[in-house]
Amino acid sequence: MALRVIAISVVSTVLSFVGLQFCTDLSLDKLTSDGLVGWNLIHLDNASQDIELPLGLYTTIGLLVNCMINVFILLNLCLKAVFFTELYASETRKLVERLINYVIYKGMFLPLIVPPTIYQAGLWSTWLTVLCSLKMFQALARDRLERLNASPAATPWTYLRVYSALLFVFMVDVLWIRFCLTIYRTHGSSMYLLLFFEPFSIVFETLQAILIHGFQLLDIWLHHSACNSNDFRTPKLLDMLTAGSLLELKGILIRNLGFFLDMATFFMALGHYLYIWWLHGMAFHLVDAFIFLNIRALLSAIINRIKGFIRLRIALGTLHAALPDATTEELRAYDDECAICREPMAKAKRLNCNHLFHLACLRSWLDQGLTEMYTCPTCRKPLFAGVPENQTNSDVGTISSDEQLARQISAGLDRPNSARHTMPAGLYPNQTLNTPEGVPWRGAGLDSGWWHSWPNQGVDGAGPSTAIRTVGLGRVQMMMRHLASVGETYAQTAFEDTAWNLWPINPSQASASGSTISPPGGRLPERTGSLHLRNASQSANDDVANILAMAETVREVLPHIPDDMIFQFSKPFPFIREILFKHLILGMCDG
Amino acid sequence: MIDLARVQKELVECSKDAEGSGIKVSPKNDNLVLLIGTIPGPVGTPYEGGIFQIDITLPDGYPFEPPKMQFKTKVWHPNISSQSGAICLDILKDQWSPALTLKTALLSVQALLSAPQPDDPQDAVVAQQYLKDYQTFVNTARYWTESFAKASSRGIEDKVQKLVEMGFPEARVRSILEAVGGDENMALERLL
Repeated sequence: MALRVIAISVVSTVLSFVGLQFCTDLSLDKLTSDGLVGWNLIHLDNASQDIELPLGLYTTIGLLVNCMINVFILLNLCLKAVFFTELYASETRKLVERLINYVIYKGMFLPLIVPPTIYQAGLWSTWLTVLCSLKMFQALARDRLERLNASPAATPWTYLRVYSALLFVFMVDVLWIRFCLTIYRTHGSSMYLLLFFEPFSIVFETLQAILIHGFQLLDIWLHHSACNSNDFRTPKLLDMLTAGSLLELKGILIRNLGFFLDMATFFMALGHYLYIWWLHGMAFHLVDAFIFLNIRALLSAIINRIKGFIRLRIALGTLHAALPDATTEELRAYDDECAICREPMAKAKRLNCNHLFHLACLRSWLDQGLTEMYTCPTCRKPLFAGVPENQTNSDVGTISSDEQLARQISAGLDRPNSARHTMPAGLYPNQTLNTPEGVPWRGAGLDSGWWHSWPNQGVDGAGPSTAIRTVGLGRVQMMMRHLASVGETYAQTAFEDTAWNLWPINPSQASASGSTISPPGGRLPERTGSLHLRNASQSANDDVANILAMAETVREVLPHIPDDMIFQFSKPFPFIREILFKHLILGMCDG
Repeated sequence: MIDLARVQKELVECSKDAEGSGIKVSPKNDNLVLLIGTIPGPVGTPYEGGIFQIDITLPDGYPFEPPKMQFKTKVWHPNISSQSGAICLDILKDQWSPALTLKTALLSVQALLSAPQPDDPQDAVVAQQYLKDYQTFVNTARYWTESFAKASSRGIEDKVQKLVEMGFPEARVRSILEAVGGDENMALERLL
């Protein structure tokens, strides 16, 4: 199949080249003939030549463009065969969808600002075509790498070949940026500044994918080497500590640098649309409404990403303060992997029962909230019962007060548990788990899920600030209990907020992990904001900062909200879109 | 997102000890989300000699959420649905812990085969029979094990011999037995 398509493309390219050559030769012959005839009848032949020349020129340009298009298609097909060998049906379908989305959202606004000349049309069409190809190759590489990551039969060579596609896209993109810089310097017009936003966005996205899958490639290679060198008995402790340090370095790098690259990507996309809007003029027309909605969706994604990052840092800091670190001697004596992720431990948290786990693994386990009381994953002892004897943390007072809070909460929870325990067994047959089911699309998108999975394997080595350190886990736990009743009302508010945010943008640029307070921009967002503020103030009577903190804590209690938020970008509802269109049209009529 | 590195390590661990314990886990068509587990019936129980297949689906929150397990082989047990294969086991529900693995979960299912809990049933009919007519329960469980969990070639040969002695041609008997998955009664119905 692929070879046949390549063969067709080769034949088409050769035919195009031959046609171009023939037309050039014909023009030369005609020129010579005209020259000869010109000596006899100067005036009449000169007029005839003037008529002939433009047509020949246009034909030559057309053939040249056709030849270049064929060469470009052939190049793309060869690169696809080299890197991906053969596309799966799902990959092809997804590629077509992305292609259509990209051309619509990136190419639709160009005619607004580009003057209608042949040179300008050619320049911007070439720009869009090259960037579109780079984008599609990058998306294909990421899809394939995720598929290989989920496959137990992946070899390092297979992974490396697909990984090379990312490196290739990065290199070509950098060269393209330099070419755009040359054009910008040549023309010097402010319109050509638009050339840079999209290439930089692709650079940042590709860098992020290179970072994540680079570590994955390293893991696969180390695993492969470990299997091959099974006969060599390397010291287990040194190997374990080295792998553990590498793992935590990976977690830190992916979490922090990934956040930066996400922000850079979002801001480049935002700059792209804002610049188009500025060049087109800030009048409010239907097209400007589309641009505005795209900008608003991007701003929501940016805010959600920032909030997710902050919440993760706070959560890690809270756990970091509440549990003591394991010393090197304890780690050496333990001589085992983390029981949650099965990876070596270079740093760990020690529970009261002397079991050691990664900080991020513990945080993920506590986030589940499957049981009312938090227990040790290994021995099911309560997590915060009893103060440890050898307390080395300097904040003894804070820890003690937090322990007392936790103990009071546990005692309060133990009372209904005891009452329930006295009931005869068998009164609750077939009692099933009420955890909401995971949405299957959640793992499909790297942008939406990748940063949730990496904290499971790494610990943030950077020390949190003193203000965060003083916040104990017991206090957070009490806050969670206190705000559980508010959660349902807040969920309703969040759903109303979701309805407005259901606008499709490029899936690769959308990653949301929580709700957002709508900026005032319409009738519905104002009502939603009012509802949100009123509900929060009724329950808490605090200022906006505390309201935001409690809202974030509510999100911890209700894990299904991020799924809905992520859902809004991945799979928009068509009927919501229709409602939005009607709303816009009515707004136009009123205006 | 699923911790795929941990799942791969678990698969390696299961394959190392597969010969000793008889418990196997293998991926279904090249992905780590859908798996097939295999456990032998415990010795000294009506399920002895049977090989039971269990469908395993890993949720996105694994290992912080329990894996979803369901018997693919039909089994007569108070805590396992005879119709759907759903398993009533606490560590697959609220008592799950991330320190548990696929292997420990399958071991727990195997232990459940040894020690039924009729007071907390998944299948009320089986539980009632277990409580009121234990011997019939044992006979039915053994019969179901013989019928559904022992698909060895020797069993197939015995069934083929039996049906050929009834006068049916051997080639047709083999094809129909293969079509019905080794069920002798269903094969007999189709032959008539």
